[in-house]
Amino acid sequence: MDKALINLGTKLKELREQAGFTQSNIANFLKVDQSLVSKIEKGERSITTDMLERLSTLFGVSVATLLTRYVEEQTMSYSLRAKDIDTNDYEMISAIHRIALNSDFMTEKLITSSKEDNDHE
Amino acid sequence: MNDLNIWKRAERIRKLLGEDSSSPIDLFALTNSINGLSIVNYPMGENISGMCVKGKHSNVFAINSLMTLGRQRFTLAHELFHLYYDNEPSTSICLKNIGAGNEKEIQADQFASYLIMPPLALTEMIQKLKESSSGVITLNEVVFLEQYYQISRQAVLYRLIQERELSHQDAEKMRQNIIQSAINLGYDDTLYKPSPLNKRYRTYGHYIKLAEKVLEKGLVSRGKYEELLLEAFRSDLVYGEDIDEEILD
Repeated sequence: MDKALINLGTKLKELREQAGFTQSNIANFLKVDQSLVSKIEKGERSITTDMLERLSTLFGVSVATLLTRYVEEQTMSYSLRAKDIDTNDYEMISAIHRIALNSDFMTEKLITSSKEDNDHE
Repeated sequence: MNDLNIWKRAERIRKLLGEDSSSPIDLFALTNSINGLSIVNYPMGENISGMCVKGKHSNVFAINSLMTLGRQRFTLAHELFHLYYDNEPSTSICLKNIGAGNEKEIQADQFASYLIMPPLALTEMIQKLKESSSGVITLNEVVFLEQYYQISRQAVLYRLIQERELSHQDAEKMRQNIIQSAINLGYDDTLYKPSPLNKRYRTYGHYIKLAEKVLEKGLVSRGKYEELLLEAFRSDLVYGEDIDEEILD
């Protein structure tokens, strides 16, 4: 089995369990069958870039983080049970995380540009 | 953490935001002035009031825009607790029911209540109100308090029950005809309504400034800039919609 796929599957499972989501929640969000999510977590199936992108925004981590092996810290905390979150709320969580990730993207652009300016001086 | 500590924390945040320890505060304006914070209006499910995302470089508050403006203010105050005092998770998704959920959520609600209605100021205000209402808190005083602090009926009732100024039974009766009770006393009804339709999806604050900056410095193309704004529900900035006639007065 492909080691990268196994790493991604393990990471996905860890993030999903930390967030308290079921495989079925993830499958609904990705609009795929639950068995596919199960296979991805076992490293038995590959994942499309679109799915990878959607998972990164759902969990609020970059795609690169999703592809690295370790989960450094808890990523999400819910004061409500997963059953209190309706289907549209997964889209909401993803949309808000997208904004946070975009903010980090823009800030990193500014930091890099400022470093380059300093190096030129 | 006991109530006194939560009160102290609320006091500290008032100070940090440049506010005294007794006056009503404008949480929309204050949170907009916090460095590195973006506020997102988003219509959420009926159980969720908001979300706080602590990012690597900046932070995001998302507020359920289907809740009344008064309740949105309470949520902003609640999320401030997560931002400043909740060290554990990077994302918190918060319940709509005040005083419910895990310990952190209950603390965040208490903090919000103290931040908006500081205990000493509220006690004085209640005393004053009771003097002119034969010693009891009636619906009129409740409406006065929610208008004075610009906060929801639910948040005021929750606090008055805690302060033993109202029984659960009396509070229950005041959970109906909320708008009418305020209108009858000559108040505007804006406090009791959700965000206007054209502002239910919208991002304010740090994010918009960041987008302008990266464009201005040539760090992203115009296409990417527009994509960033559209993902933050700011089509008005991309297509120039919704700009009302300006009045300078």
